[in-house]
Amino acid sequence: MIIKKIRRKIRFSVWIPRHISRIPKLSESVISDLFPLRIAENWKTHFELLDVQGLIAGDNSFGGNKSARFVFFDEEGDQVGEKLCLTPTSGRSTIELSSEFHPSISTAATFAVFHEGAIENLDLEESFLAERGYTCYSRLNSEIRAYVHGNFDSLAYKKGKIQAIGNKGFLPRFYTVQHPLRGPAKYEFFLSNPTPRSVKVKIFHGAEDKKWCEIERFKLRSKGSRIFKVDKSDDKATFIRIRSQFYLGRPVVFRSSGRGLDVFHG
Amino acid sequence: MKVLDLEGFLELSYTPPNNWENRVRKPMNIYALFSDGNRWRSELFSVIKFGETQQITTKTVSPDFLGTGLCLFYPTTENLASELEELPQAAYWAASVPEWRATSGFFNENAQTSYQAEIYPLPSQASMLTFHPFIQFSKVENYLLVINVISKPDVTEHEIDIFNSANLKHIGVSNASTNSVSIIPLNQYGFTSNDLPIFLSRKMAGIPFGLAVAQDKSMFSLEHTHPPASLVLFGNRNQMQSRIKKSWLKRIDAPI
Repeated sequence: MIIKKIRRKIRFSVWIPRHISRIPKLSESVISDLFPLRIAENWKTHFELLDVQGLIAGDNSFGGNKSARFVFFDEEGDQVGEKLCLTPTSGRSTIELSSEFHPSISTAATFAVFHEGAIENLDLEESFLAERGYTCYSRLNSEIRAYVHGNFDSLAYKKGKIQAIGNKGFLPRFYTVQHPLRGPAKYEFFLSNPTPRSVKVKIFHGAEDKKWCEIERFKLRSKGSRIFKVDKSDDKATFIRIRSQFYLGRPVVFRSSGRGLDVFHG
Repeated sequence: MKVLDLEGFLELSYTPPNNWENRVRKPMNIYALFSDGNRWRSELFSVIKFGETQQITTKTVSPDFLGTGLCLFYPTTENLASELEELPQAAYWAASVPEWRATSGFFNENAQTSYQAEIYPLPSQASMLTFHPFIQFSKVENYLLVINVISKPDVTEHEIDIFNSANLKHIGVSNASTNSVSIIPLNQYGFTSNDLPIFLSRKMAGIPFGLAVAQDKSMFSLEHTHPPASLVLFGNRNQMQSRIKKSWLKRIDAPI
């Protein structure tokens, strides 16, 4: 048992020598996921804006001028726009992220939401306020929206400065997406880079008992993102394997089949 | 899991998430585990080889396994007795960065909805407080699913109170049980698009999910709601979770 534990520690120190994400440099920073934004080709994206400060304080009417800064990034990770919105004083506000919300949104691939105001009034101890909330996706003919929550501690923000807080390792490693692909369905995988440096990514499609075929390779700049696609015609389970230096190269999966849309973390 | 008229599915993949943790390759027994209220019943369901994926659906398991709506599938190299006092503890498919997961969800003839479904037993004495920010409107039926698994096989019913987070008005009360999947219909409460309801169980932990089903059954959406600790990152998140819960409970329990 002791040998097993030591072996595990050594493996960890080689593969995951640091935490998955780093603590923001500036105190009272706020953190946000880098959420996928889909508005082209009849897609719609909505975001559920909540009074996170109020929810933490245990009081939705918690005082202070509170707002949320939406920041948009293109595929290369460059900032293409931002907009400040008042947070709802109670309950929720469902925001459609369209060109009416921000004119430069058509060039964006991702967005982050940073909460502002009344942070200093919260006793967060050593913690940081985080937006890991709910984004939903639909197409023009969808009866309902498919919701998925934020999953990455991607970006920290304070007074106009944005820090990518994801960590990566020295050695490239494989991550097998924890979802077997079954068709007929069209799969789209959204992958973003939450680290401060560029990362080379190779995508393989296959299965453990068959061979793995490289289907795509690209370089993701910091805060950059890509969508790669697999059309799956048969019902036999296959997998996506991602080779990169990411500790957690976990994509958001969009699965379209018939009129149905299924969005989840892979 | 089986709820409403939707079938449940589970994709068990003996394919590890990374290439450096848990390189076990032995064939594994897959046991179906379900509670009869007094004992965990265990039945060898299948054997899975390395690299293999098995799709299990509620159409392919005995209805006896789904008495509480919930049946667990446990991979192990051991042989389990047919009756157990507690759930087995050892994790044979274990990877932590990233975690080894299984896709589960619901399907019908039109669509499916998925989530990552591994579950570890929850404390038997605990509470649950969560906000549901994604109730949908128009031609949609909304539900809150509460999944609970504890080590002991007890199936005990507990109350779930529903409040409006803005004014703390008590909206209703429903029930959920341990070692079960419980379903609470939400359209009956008349929530509006700006409402953010709170769901509070004082005596039972649970993993809450928002399930939305299109009335024409053409599509559905399933996602879990966050525990309060998800509002912060780093530091002592357990302490923050406790503090956030206490703050809300203090206001909820304050005399009017």
